[in-house]
Amino acid sequence: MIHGLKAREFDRLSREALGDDIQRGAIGKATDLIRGRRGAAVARLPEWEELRERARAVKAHTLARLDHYLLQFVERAEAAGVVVHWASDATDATEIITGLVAEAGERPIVKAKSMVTEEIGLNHALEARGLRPVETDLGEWIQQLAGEPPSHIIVPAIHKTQAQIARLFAEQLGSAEDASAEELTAIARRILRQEFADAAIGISGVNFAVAETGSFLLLENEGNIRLTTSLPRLHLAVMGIEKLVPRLSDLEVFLRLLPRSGTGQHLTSYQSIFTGPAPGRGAAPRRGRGGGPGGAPPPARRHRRRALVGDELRRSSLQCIRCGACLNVCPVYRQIGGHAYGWVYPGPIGAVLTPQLAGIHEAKALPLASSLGGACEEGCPVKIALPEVLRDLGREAGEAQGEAPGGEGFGCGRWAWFMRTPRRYRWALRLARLGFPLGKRLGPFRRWAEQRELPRPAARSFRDQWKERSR
Amino acid sequence: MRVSLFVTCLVDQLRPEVGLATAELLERAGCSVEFDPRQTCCGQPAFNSGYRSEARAVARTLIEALEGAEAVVTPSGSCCAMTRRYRELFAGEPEWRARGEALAAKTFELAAFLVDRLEVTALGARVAQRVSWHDSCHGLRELGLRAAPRALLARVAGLELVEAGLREECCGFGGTFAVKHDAISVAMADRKIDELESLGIDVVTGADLSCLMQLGGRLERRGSRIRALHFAELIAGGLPALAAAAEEPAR
Amino acid sequence: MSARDSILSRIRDGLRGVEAPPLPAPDPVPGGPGELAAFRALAESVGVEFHDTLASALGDARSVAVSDAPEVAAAVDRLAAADGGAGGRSFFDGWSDRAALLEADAGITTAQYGVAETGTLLLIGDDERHRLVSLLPPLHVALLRRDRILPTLGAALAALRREDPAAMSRVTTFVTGPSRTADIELQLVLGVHGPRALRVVLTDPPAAANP
Repeated sequence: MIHGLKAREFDRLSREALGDDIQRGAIGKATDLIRGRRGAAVARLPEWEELRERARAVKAHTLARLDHYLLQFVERAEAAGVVVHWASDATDATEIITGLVAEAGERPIVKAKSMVTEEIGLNHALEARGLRPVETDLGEWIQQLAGEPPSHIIVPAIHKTQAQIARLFAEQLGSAEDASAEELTAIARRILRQEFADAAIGISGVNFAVAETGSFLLLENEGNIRLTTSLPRLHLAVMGIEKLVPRLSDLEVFLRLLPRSGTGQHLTSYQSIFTGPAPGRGAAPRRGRGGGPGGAPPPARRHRRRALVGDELRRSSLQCIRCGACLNVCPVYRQIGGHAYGWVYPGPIGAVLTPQLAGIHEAKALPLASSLGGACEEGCPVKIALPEVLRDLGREAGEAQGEAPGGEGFGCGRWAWFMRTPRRYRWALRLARLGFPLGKRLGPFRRWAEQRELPRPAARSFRDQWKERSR
Repeated sequence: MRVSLFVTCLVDQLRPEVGLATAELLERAGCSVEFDPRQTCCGQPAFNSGYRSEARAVARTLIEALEGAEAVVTPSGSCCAMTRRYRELFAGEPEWRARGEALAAKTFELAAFLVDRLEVTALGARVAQRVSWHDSCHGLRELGLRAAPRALLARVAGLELVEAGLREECCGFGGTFAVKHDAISVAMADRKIDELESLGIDVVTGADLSCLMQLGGRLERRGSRIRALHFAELIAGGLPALAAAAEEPAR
Repeated sequence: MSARDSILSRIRDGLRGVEAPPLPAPDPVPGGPGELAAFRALAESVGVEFHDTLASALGDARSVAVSDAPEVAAAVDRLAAADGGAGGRSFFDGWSDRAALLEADAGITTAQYGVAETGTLLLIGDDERHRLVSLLPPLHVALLRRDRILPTLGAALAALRREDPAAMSRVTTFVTGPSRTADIELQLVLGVHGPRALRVVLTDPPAAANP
């Protein structure tokens, strides 16, 4: 059971989202802005394509030797004083973390934005124990106040307008109904400062982990990650096993790609590189960093992860550095927003990751929720062949639907059989023409024709007309 | 130059006029045009659904039909782009891979062939309309098709090219996507159409019939006055008929 | 089987027979110093202000936290000794008094390096206790020696790297401009969690200061 997984309801969720004009307006405006900034930032870097290729190559190499680099990282991190816990799945991970929290006295918890903790449903698990983890990234905090998951990887509340956020704050915190972004931010700073001051435990994710030094890196703009990792006495960093790079120098290419791809900045305001626990304050030494590699899939899906690692195409999905660029250029995401994808990862990368991590049966609609135009692949800084993976998953989804190889309605197998010789091709077309009046009211044609005119087959095909023309 | 037409299955069955117009433009540019009726489809529908072995089976048919040609020209950016994928599609079959690559190397999208290969832009057409170009995803990203069609349109007398801000946005077709997720697909088309209508254009044109079916089908349902036409049809429609042209001086 | 063993065996099963594509050779790290002017231009582009004197950088800040760097102490001493003195400001050890730090108007630290490519300051944690002093007050003033400019991020990473990982700095922070957010309709707001303003005072290397 994966907490919050609703990808099966994609059809309903996406239709509801299409009806939400405010959300569509907010997402359209925001993604246009980010795309403009990203485009300008990329244009200033003539070597952009070389950087993408280098980043892809580093990730592809690392993932193909993941066991080696994972062990090297853990060994070096432990030598530097980090306490490493291994979690083989989401339940394992949340149990380890709740255990560590209990050991630390169940004191207040602050959290930095982390996709892997969303993936394992950490907040839910902590809340089930009566704990109150406080999200400290402004967008995440807004989403926590609203009782909603984030709808974008980089801008969690991208689907909300300032007016909606002001109303939310007014209801929950008693602030002015018409507060400006500046005022809303100041309110968040004041309240969260107190949370930071009280917190005993800070939980973060990991953006990149360096095998050769046992270091890890976190990027941000707000400073909440710096606070989360410096004020509380215990820092728990939760890391997916795919976050590795071999060498410290490999961080350079990602530092150049990620901010430009995510927000169009040449660098985000802060990067923190940790190698072992930070020097303690005064006499009380800080506890080691815990947290497991293996922000892993839920138990039932172990074999999926293996398939993910074993297959070259699928393994490439693990190259993702969570920049959100594919969301910002995706014409489907623009229309339906993040929540319609029904889990942690929205947009093209969500359509790729959710079926693989949660299982194709949980997310059959997602791989087909793409027009395969390739804007996502073009925008991806690590060159994940997103449409290629989607095509591959689309077939798996079709087969999971109980399609004979061939596909529902469409019938790829049958179709291919007809297309294999010109004679069969002509039969098929004759049949199609006969069936057209009926087909208009059935199956895929009906869904086409509900809101669009259906093209009518020509009275005489090109090949028939050509025969005459050449005579 | 002898050119073999790959008309594509959609044009063959739904808009043969596009195929005839393609032949006419090629002839105006001085080519002799052939059509080999053994061709069926490039394999793209199966490929896009993840059915690679089915796609290979169909691709072989196309390779066998057209590999003898001097040059192959198609009025579809996405079908042309599909031939570029044969290399990878047949990765495990060296012989077919070589044949597929050879076919891809001499297969051209119509506008790219006329402009980049034959260096012909002026075809003598006159179309007094306001026209917007839709950059289809596959032509744009896989073939870099951007300048060539615009160069052709620029030489059509009376034609005013109106660039849409959303010209490179997907129309929402995407094969099975258009029916599996029809509501999203239509919303994507509407976003483009809203802009096109605000531009006061007469025609939206492009190099892929599938996108034009999507935009055209929605335009028609919305009761719009904008027509969606393949550029070959648009330009050929503005050519003086060969016979009429010959008679003209006599009048 | 332990979680560790089961994770590793799952990965190894998956990767059986997989040949790893080569790891690209590292890009050569440019030698020599970076350009101060480029550093300054990039930093200014993200809102960093450059001041000639500490007094001007501190502005009307009254309660000022300082890090434990001797250069900071020396700069504060010079300020107090100069005409006009400390100007009614009070200075305290930001790293030892957290309650006061939470209320401070400004924090002064050094930065170990600047990076010309991005206008970034490097705060190396083993050299100075500057994590909180640079983060909690609304104004962060950083003293940076003008001969400590590195050309690129790659050079910065090379400067941090040690053959023995145990010798690496425990925490290093890269700082490029003030704290910022754009989480509400992508409107830029400064100072969301960290400082709203970042001011840099460029200092001369000791030899140059006393020729």
